[in-house]
Amino acid sequence: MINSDFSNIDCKSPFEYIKVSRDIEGGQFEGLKRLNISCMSSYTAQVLKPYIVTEMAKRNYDVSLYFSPYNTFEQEILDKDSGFFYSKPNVILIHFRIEDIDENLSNNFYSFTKKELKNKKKYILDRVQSILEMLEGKVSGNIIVYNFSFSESLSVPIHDPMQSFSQDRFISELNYDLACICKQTPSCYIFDYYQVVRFVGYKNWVDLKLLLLARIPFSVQSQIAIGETLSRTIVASLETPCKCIVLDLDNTLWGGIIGEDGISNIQFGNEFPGVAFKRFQQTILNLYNQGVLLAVSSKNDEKLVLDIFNSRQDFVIKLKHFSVLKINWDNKADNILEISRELNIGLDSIVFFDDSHYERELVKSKLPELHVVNVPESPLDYSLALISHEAFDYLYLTEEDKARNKYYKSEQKRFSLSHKAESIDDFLAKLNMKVTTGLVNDVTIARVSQLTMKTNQFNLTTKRYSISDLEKMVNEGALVLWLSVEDNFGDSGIVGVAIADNSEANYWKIDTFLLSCRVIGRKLDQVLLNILLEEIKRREGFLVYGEYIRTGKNEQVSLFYDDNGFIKESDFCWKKDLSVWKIDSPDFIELRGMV
Amino acid sequence: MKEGDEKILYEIISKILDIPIDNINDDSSPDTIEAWDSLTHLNLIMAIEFEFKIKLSPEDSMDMLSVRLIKIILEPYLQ
Repeated sequence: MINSDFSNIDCKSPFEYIKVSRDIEGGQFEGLKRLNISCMSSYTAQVLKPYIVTEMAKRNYDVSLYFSPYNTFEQEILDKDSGFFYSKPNVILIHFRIEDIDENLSNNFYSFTKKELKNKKKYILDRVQSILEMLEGKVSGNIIVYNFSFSESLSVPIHDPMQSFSQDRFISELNYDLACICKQTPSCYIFDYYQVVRFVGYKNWVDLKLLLLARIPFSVQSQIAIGETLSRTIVASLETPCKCIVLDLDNTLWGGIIGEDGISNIQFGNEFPGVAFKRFQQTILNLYNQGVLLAVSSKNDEKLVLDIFNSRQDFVIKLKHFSVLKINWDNKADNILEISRELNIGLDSIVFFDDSHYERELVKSKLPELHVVNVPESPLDYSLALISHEAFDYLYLTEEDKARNKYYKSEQKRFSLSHKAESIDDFLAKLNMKVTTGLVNDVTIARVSQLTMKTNQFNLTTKRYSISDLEKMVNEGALVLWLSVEDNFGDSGIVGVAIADNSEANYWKIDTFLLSCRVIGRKLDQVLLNILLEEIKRREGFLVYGEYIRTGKNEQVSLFYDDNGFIKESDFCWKKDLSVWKIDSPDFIELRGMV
Repeated sequence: MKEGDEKILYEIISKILDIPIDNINDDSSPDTIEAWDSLTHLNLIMAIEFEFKIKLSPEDSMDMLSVRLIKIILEPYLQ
C-alpha cells in the first residue's frame, strides 16, 4: 500500500516504530523529501534509527541515516574518504555524552576541585569547538549539537543546590558556553537534550539493563522522546516558521458566545472554566512576543467584539495586539485570503485556530496550504495543542523576527495612507523612504542568508544560501549586496539582496535578486538594481546577464528584466550592456549610499 | 506458549529481523538469520518487553539466542 498522509503515523512501542520505519525505508510512503543525516556520537547511537526515521517521516522527510563508529568525531572529519563524507550529509548531529567524557563528572562530581572542573569544562568546549572548526568549509549541511545533561541523577541525593559550585550549575554553565560557540558557527544549532532528559525524568531516562548489558544509554521511553524532539529540531533548522495565527473568538479566546450569552456572561478569569481561556490567551501573547502576527476571523457583530475588548480590562490579549480583524458573516476562507493579502504573507505562513470543526474543514478544503490546528474538544487542552503544533518552531530568533509586529503595524499605517494618496508615486513620496546599502559583512550575513532562505515571491532565482555558502561566494569574488530601508513609519531593516559574480571573466551574471514581501511595490527593486549595476560598472564590468527561474511562487517577477531595459536572449536569460546605460532612479527615495 | 502469544512473537521477529513469518521456525537463530546481530537482538528484547508488558532479567535477555529459547524463557513471564 502506498501511503501519502504522514501526519497520522502514530507509534507508541519500539515494535511499531521499527515496523513503520521499515515501511518508510521500503518506499511505501510517497512524496517525502529526501534528507541525509549523519550522526556522530560518543556512544553507539544506531538504536535511535527507527525513531528518527519514523518521526522525520511524520514531518514529511525521508531520511537516510549514517552513524559514524562511536567516538570517531575527528577521524571521520579528517579522513576525506570516510563514511561520513560518503554519506553526503544535509544535517550533521553531534552528541557528546558527559558520562562518556568523564564518568566521574556524573557519579563522583565532588571529587573534583574547582580548578579541575574549570579545566574539564574548557577541555570539553575546546573539543567541540575544534570539531566545528574542522567541519567548516568541508560540509554545507546544518550542524546540530546536543547540549549536555546528566542521565541518572546528580552525584549527591539532596544537597547539590547549596554547594558553592554545584553539579547543576556546572552543567548550566557548560550549556551556556556551548550555545555561545554554536551561535558563532554558521548554520549551527543546539538540540536541547538537557530539556528532553528533564521532560522524561532521571528516573525513567536510563534502563539499567540496556545500559550495562549493551551500553545503550537510553530507555525505550527516552529513545521515543529523543526521536520526537530531535526530529522537531532538525525540521526547525530546515524550514521557515509560520508568521501569523488567525484566531476565532467565541469559545476560542473566551468561553461562550457574546451574541447569544451577552458580554457579561462569557467565561474568562481566574476560576474554572474561564481560567482555561485565560491560559490560552497567555499562550497567544507569548507567540505575539516572539514576533507572530495575530489576526481574527470571527462570525460576529463587530460592535459587540469591540465592546468586549474595551470593557474587559482583564483580557490578556488586547485589540492593539491584532494586525487585522475580520469580523463579519462572510465565509472564513475568504477572510483568511484577505488577511494574507493585507499582511502580504503567503497562506503557507498562516496557522488557523478555531474551535468549530465545521469551519476548520471548510477552510482546509478551500485553502489546502494553510496550517489548520486540530483543536481539542476541551479548552483545557487548547494551549498544549498550539504549543505542540510545531508550525511556529524556530531555533534562532533574529532581531528582525522579534520586531515583526512593529514592522507590520507600520505596514498597516502605510496601507491606510495608500488609500488616501492619489497616485502611487505620490503615496511613495509621502513615505520619505531612506535607503542604505552595503556589501555583506559579519554583521549582516545572517540576515542576508535568512532572506535567501525565506523569500519566495519577489525572488528571481530562488537560490537558497547558508551563511557558509555566502562566505564561500564572497571569498571567490562574488558581489553580495544588501539594502535596508527606513521611512516615516519605521525602520524595516534589511529587506533586499542582490548577488552577482563574474566567474566568466568577460561578463557579470546576476545570481540572486530578491526583495522581502514586506516592501514589494515600493520601487525599491529599481533602486537595488541601480546600485548593483553601478557597483558592477565600478568594477569595470560592462556586460550583465540576468536570469529568471520560475518556481510557481515568483510569477510576479517574470517580466522583471524586460521592465528594466534588459534585452531578452531566451525565455530565462536577459542581457544588458552597461556601456550605454544611464541611471534612472526614483527621485522620491533618498539614498544614503553604501556602508 | 499460547497461539495468540506465538503469533505476536512471530510478527515481532519477522518485522525486526526483516524476514517473512513463514521462514521463522523454532531453530531460527543468529546462525540462520543474517539480520540477527547484537543491535537487532536488543531491538527484539525491547519489543518483546513492550508488547508483552514484561521486564526480562539481564541473564534471560542475553540467553534468548534462538526462537526455541525465546519461547522457553518467555513461558514463566507469561503465566
